[in-house]
Amino acid sequence: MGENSLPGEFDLLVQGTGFTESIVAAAASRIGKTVLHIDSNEYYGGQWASFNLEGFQKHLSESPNFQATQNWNTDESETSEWTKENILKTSRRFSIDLTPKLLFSRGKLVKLLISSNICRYAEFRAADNVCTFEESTSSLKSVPCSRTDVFNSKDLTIIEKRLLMKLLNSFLNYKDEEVPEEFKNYLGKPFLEFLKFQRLTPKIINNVMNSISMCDEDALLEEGIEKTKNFLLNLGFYGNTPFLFPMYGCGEIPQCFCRLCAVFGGVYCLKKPISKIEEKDDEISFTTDNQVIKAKKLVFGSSNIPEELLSSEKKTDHCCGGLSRGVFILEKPLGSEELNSGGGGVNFLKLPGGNGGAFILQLSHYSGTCPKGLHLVHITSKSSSTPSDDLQPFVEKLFTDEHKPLYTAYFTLPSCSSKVSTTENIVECCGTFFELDYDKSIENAEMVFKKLYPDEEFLPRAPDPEEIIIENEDPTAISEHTLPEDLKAQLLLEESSKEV
Amino acid sequence: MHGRLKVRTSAEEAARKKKEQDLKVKAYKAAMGRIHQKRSTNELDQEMMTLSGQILARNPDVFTLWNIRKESLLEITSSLEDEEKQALFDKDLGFVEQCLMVNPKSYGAWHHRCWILENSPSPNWQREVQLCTRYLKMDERNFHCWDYRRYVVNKAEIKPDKEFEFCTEKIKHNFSNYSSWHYRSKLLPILQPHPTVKSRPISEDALKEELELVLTAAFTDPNDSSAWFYQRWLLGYSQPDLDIGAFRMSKDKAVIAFTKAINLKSVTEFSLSSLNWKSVSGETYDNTWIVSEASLPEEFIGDSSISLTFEGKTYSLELKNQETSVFGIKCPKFEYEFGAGVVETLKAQLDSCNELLEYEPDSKWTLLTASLLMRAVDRKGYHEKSHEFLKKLQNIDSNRKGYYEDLASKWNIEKKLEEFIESGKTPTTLDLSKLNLTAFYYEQYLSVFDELNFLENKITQRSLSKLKAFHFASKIYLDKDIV
Amino acid sequence: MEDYKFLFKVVLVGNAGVGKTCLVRRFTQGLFPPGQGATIGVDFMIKTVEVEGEKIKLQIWDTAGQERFRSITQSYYRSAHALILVYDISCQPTFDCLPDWLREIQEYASSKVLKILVGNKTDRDDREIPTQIGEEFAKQHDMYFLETSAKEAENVERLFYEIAAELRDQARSKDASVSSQQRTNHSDSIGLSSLSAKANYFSQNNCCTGGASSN
Repeated sequence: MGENSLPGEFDLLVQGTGFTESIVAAAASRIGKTVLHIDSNEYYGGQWASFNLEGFQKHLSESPNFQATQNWNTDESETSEWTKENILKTSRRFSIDLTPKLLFSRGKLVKLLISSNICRYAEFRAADNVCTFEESTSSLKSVPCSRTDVFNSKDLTIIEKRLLMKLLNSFLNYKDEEVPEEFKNYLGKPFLEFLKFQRLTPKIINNVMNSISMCDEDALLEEGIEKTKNFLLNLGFYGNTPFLFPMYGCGEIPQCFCRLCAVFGGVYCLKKPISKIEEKDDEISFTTDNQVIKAKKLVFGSSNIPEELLSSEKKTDHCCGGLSRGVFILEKPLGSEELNSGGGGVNFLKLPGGNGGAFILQLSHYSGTCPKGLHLVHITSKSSSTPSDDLQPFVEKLFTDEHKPLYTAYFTLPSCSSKVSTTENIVECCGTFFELDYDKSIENAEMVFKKLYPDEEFLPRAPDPEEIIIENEDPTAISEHTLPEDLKAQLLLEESSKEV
Repeated sequence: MHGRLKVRTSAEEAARKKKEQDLKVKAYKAAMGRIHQKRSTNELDQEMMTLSGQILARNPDVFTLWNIRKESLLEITSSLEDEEKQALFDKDLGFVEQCLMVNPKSYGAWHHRCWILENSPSPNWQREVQLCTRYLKMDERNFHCWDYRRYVVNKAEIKPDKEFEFCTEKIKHNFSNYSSWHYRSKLLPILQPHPTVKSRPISEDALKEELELVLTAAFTDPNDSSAWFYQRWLLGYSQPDLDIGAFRMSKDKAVIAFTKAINLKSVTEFSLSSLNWKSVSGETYDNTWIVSEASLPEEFIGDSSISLTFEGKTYSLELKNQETSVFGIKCPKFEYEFGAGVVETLKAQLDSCNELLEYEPDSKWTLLTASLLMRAVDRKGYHEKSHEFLKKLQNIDSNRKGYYEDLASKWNIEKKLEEFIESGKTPTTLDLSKLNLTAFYYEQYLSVFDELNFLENKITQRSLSKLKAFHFASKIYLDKDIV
Repeated sequence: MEDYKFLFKVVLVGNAGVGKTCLVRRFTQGLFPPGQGATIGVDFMIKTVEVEGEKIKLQIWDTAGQERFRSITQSYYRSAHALILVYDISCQPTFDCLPDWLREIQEYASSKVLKILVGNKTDRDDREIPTQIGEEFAKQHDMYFLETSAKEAENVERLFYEIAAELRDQARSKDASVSSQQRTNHSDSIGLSSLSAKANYFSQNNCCTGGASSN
């Protein structure tokens, strides 16, 4: 078999290595399907990829539909440590996500990673702080959310500590079957109204609304309870917040699923555009590098729609994408020194605003996504106009003179606007959603998988190496070779004593 | 070209596990057999170290093996120079650490570690402190490790302020930790002793800070009892210092009462030591000692005080000569008396509690803290109010009703006793009726009264054994329904 | 309960067909040849070795075939403690690709990763790469060097034992320097192991440092 030729037939062709497609590829491979997973890009992840700084700049400039703008604002004087040149010298230390996310420590993705045993391919950092923006000082403040935080907080009086703890406990213990008195009159009414009636201080109300529950202003009590409860139930596992961030950036996550797919026999090929997709008699054929390959089914990512499948109609409902993104490199991070002294290297802020507000992540070198001495800030909101216009209110708030970004980039992750003709055997995966964690994308992946293989289990636990029977070995035997050395030595004693 | 994934079935896995287990048992038996055989011939050599190590690494709780290891290590190193000796001891420390990874709560392993260091030519205590820090990072409530830490810190001569810092760090990380609060109560009296009052463990400034810290913990999580223990320690609900509390002597009997139990037989320089003193309880140590059917010694009548020396310290009590007896009483210290600065802090904390009670009028721990704080701030002034809180607590926290009733009894008796002492009257009668008493407190002080009235209380049977202490009482009024 | 003192992740890279899987199998199972291709589902192999009485667990990762089309996921390199770069001494192209592999290693692996260059298949009599050439290349790129034969079991044990010993020494000296500097703020990264049933932070008296396993 030559280096560059592929097998001629597969059960499934997956085009695009974005998050959703990669899950589908892994799930198919896991149940024994032969999978060819290819990407026309030379990198993994599609819209979910991370790049080093140079790669990121290049990617923005080569993606016309991103509406990207980039801007350097470095101090070029001789004494300056971070000139543009110096920053670019550390390009490889950056891992800039197109789609930055946080994982709830017991959220859908974490559960999936663990239940499927894919967790062994990734490492995480615990987010250090959930922040709030304090208008009076124009600065970032840590929101005490765990019991330990509340105890140590200097921003709350002891009365406030008690009130906050009591409130959070009442959410935690809330059960639909026996609604406590204080909740009864507010079901179906705004969450904010409920909070205001609880004789809480404005600070606590703000913390609970915007940082803990992350509710919009018009959210109802039911939503508030659910979101607050979820936040609290994710606390206490790692660090002081409910969140995890993947070490080296979110671009690692799709690759974990790809690795599993490969371990179960999936064939991987980057930089591989395909053409001439045809579906005939329940079989799909396509051409790549002059080789015609057949596959029973095809899955593709929405940012990577094969031309043959595009229909001329425009989509009316944009389910995914449509995100405005900002990426900023700072020397002096937002918030106090103490706020940035955590070892996780991740701070998170949700800012309220029209259209769902914005998610903001500030990353230090501990997260493995930027060099020591610099900080990376990601802002994500829904897009309604140009990315810079969409993010302007947040940017103005955050980046005061003290914190002028050295580098600024705005871009859009476009929504899927074209209609696609899919069939029973050809299925499309959605792109990124405006959500903090990956819940919707996982649901999407599972839905695609079920469409392809309705009766199969979705990503059952992959066995650990020691559970696998290798070739023709006796499944109940213990290999001499793998026995610990001390046991071997002790067993020898037994034999020698027999000889005596 | 694709092979299929084959995974052991659960039956196959069980069969394999069984085989593995059998092999392990076989290996264990072989090794143990060899160890016993060697021990019987006193072969305490390197092989003994290897074998015991192999077993302990899997199961650090086989105690005999630790002993064998100690014997072997001593034997092997007995003829070595210090340097070589140290190297072997250090190696064994490395081994113990491996065992602690298997079970960080193994008594045997921690114990062996102490032993190694005690027997090393040049133990590195500093390194042990770092080891503790590492283990407490993994599990901050591993009390084996806390105990070991206190031991090695002492040896390493670590300054208490460094340890205090460590302790604070641990509490900041998780305040539900008896060990670290307890450690604080040991360190603070060394670091910040009270400059003048010996019975007060820590200085006023330190006390203020600690009170704030602990109230913050209590407000953050009222259900956490570790903080409460510490708060009580700070507020001084502890054993009083030894003193003579009361004395009375008549023609035919005498009683001497102390703030806490003492062995009267071992006091010196006591002018009445020749009398036939007996403890009320019959125990060697008691707080009340009596003489029955004695005749008052002539020469004593004129004395204005009695004194005695116990364990090198002299105690005395002013006496008054009355018609038929001599008598003296000293008001007990019910609580610490705090300086103005601390009282300010306590008042502020009381305000916080009261503010909170507006939001949560039925919060039991707030009610209790508030009533304790009131006592510490102004016992007399807040008498009614603190009782009101206790009464409320009896209703909302019915599980601990008895505890609150007893506490209220204690406070009521304190009040009556204090009023009597301040009046300067003769101890003819003390009226303790209608106070909702459920138990007797300060019974050693009550021993001097001729008449005690406990009518219309709720004294229970469990308290009746204390009646013996009322040595002078010719009349004790009790409700009928106590059997 | 784990009874090893150190756990290290060792990853292998190099062109398809240089014998990476054979090296792993030879070492962990004493087998050769290991059948056709990689066994489906086997991610890494584990072997616990003893160096000076200390147990060291090696987790040895293979490429899962992704090297065939130069599509190794970067996450594969990320947390490796040691990296074995393998070529076939009887196949010049596998040696010529080494600079490409080094570029990838530099981009994604930790700068502190222990690198070993291995020329495999010394049992073959059609050698194309003289030992000296391999040695020089290793020297130039700050790598250890060893020639092996998975088939004849030559130098295979030595390769992994030396890696174990070297990593243990590194870990120890790192340990010592950390403790002398007192505590730093840097916390370890978190591996997700299992969903331990653990009570919430808010329900009292429960909050150990977490299900976080750090290494």
